[in-house]
Amino acid sequence: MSVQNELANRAPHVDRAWVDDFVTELTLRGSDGRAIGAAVLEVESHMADRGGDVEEEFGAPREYAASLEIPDTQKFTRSEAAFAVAQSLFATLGVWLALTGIAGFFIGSAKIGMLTGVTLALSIVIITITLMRWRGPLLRAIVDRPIRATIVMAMLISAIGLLAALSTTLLPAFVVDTAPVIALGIGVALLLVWALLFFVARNRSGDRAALTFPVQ
Amino acid sequence: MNSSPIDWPAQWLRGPLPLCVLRTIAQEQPVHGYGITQSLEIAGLGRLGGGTLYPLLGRLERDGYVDTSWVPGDSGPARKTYAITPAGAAYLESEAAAWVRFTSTTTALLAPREEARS
Repeated sequence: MSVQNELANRAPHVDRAWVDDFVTELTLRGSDGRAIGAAVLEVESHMADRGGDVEEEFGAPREYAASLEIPDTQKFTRSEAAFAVAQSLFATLGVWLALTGIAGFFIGSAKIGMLTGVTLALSIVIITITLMRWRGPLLRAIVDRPIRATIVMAMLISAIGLLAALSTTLLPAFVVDTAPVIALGIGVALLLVWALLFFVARNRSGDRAALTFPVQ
Repeated sequence: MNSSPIDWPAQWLRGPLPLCVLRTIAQEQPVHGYGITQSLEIAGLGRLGGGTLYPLLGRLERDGYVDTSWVPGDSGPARKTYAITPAGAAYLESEAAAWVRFTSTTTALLAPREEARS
């Protein structure tokens, strides 16, 4: 059952748009899925008794969510942050090397620009740390202004791609010429390490954001 | 949000409201949120919105003054019920006594004085 249907079933006395905004706001604030389910169910039981308009009774969903002061349990610990950075690095460099290897099959050899790799690695580390540090405000900006956020992200990715490409073009001395199969092999190996880290991290932390209700 | 016929100023309610809620819980436990609003309304405190009550109940729970449990509803939704803890009872008695002293002082100050009339 989708989250939307689950909410509609669990909170039939609460306006659909209100409860959607309420759950979105609590999620953006990093609230635990169990705490969100409990908060929704409490609004539902109150409105089932009281009746009337939920906004009149509880106020705007965003303000009400803030007033509950539910702790942010989605914050990354130091080891989780290190894991996330490592995953990003392995995924980015893996995809880049695999694509370089595939392109190499068409042009005869794989040209691995070391400065391109460094640029990509540094960019992805900065982006990952920024996303972890300012997750709430960034996600809220995406939810509030999706078009603007998409344009900004596209510009950012283009800028990194341009910088990575220019770094190799302007400084060709740092280009390593190798067999395409080697570049592809290293890329695939890095992606396999990324997949391993992904499953380890997932099993370690579980899905704390998954919406659950106190009484099933 | 508050459509009660008795509209006490919000700043008046801010001080004693946690104590009034705790007293209601102590007297009627286990009681759910809507039950608390009804009791406070009957007592003359006015109609308390969910947007005021539940954040307050959350703070009381985090402070260890109330225990909560979920009770499945017979025909309606499940309800979260509240009961006072020993720490909550001790806090209530000391703070309520202090509040009564405070209101006695303010009442004495605010009451019209005989000598002023003559």
